[in-house]
Amino acid sequence: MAKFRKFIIIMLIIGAVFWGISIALRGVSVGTVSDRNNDVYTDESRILFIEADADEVRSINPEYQLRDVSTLLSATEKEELQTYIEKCEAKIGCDIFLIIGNSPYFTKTNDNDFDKQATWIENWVKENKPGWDQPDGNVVVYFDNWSAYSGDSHCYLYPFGKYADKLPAHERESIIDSVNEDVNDDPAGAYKRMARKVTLKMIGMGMIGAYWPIGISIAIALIIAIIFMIVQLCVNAGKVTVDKATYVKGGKAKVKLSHDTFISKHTTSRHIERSSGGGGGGGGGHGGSGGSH
Amino acid sequence: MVYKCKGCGGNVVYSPKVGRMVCESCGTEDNEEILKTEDAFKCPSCGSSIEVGEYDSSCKCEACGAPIILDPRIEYPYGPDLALPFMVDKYDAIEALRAYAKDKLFIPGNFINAHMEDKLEGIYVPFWLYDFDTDVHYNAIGVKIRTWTSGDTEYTETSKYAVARELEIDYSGYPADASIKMPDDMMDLVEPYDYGRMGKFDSRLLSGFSAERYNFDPNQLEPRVKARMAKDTDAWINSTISGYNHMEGVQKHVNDQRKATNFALLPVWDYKYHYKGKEYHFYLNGQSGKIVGKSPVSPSRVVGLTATLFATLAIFIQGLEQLLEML
Ligand SMILES: [Zn+2]
Ligand SMILES: [Zn+2]
Repeated sequence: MAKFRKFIIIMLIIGAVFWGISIALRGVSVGTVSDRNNDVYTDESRILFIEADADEVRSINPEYQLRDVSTLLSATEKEELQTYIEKCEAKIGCDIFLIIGNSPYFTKTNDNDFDKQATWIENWVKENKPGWDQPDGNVVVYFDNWSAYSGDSHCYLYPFGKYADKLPAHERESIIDSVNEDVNDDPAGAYKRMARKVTLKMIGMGMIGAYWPIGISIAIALIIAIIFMIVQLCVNAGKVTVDKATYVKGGKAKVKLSHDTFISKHTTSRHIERSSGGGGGGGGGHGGSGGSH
Repeated sequence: MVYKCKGCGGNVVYSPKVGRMVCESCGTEDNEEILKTEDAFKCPSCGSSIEVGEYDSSCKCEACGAPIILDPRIEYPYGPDLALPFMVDKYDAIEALRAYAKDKLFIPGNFINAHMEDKLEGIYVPFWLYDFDTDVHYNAIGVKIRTWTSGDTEYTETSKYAVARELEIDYSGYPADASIKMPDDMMDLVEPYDYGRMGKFDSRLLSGFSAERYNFDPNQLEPRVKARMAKDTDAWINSTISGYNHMEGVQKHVNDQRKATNFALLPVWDYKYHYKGKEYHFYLNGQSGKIVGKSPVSPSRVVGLTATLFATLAIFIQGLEQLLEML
């Protein structure tokens, strides 16, 4: 019982330290960031909805259904997210846009279809000239196009400006993966994480950047707790503390004879089928990264 | 009979702490005399009749508390050959139980309580100690299998050996408790006893403790001992054989020759613990202090501690996640 109590206290202390450090890290910024300097793109809203025209979509295919993306985030969630993104931007000096769409135009039918989304983002940035330091400056665009009709939604992360190098392809993919982990259940939380991760990578942290949803933490904790308790419940009446030598005079048996005589040997052989692994890979050298959820 | 103090007339009992007879009233050591009555089942101290079970050989007078030893039950044919005195006294036993309970998460909180003294009974448990000469003749075919690959071919080499062993094992003092009321599995678990401290039976050791004459004769218990011995014998055989993947065509002849049996009294503390209307027994080796027994489980503790552990782990793991996400 004393050991158990000690364990609980130590775990709680370490857990609290983890929470404390992580909360403290959220406050870290990338040195001094000058004020936003852009008189071309002045709109303060960072969450944009690009909704397709229902009639137009149906004229292409009458079976197409448009997802109502406007309800993905509640008004309060939108407000909170906007505030959070603004905080992140101020820390790193970079505009962060979350664009939510439902256009069937972007729906992926093959890998190259990511290009459509990338091209759209490139054009949008060129046309509107967002950027923290200057028009067409430091921008990160996260474009999540929710399933229009196929059940396959796709998202694209595209950094521009001086921070573009800080988000290499594998980092972009890891951010997209971590968003897609639970974007279907908790879009607000997932997008907030996107903004946080982008910010952390730019500050120079986010080296490990491991992420798992809270449900996984709870499940692991539950499994460990139950297994531990079952083991405790199975404690037997006592350990056996005698062995084969306990009641033998001198603690040893007398070996009067011990022979191992070779009789025979035979060898068989068998041909092994070796399977060869298939090749794969490829990939494009694009400025952004895509993913699906 | 009863041991009485020559100085003050108080009851004299055996004290495990000092290893001597001590007067309960004045504390004088080794100054005792025997008080007997014609009828062994009448208390020599107060004259009331002693109500005991069929096998009890030592008890307390219910009327006056005198430590009674029932002569007819420690004399021929029930006289013990050997006895191992208690080395753990009642207070050591309580301390041992306290330490034991500390390690058990689900043991109810009142396992350790103010009435433990009354619930602890020191019992000299009757044991038969067997000496056996065991001869083993063992023959089998030992199979060694070696596999390796060369190119696209896997080779398997099977070698066979004729394995012959002859062993002589001198079992000595193999114990089996000869008491109906003591559970066999618990008595097996409470072993071992260091026989080095055992001496010829002395009735003074019983004073102040419970004791029993044997409930079974050695022939009745022999199968139990032989079954345990057979496992040991197999372990001895296996300890001489190594390097084989498996054995085939095993022929094993074991001849156990009983050489001697001794009737010995071995010390056990019996702690009776009541929980939710059920009685639980915990047994302490009266020499080593080892404790065995099936613990009752407190459901509220199971639920409470599981929830605590779960919450703690969840906080810890989620904290780790938060940190890793930031780093
Ligand atoms: Zn006295
Ligand atoms: Zn009496």
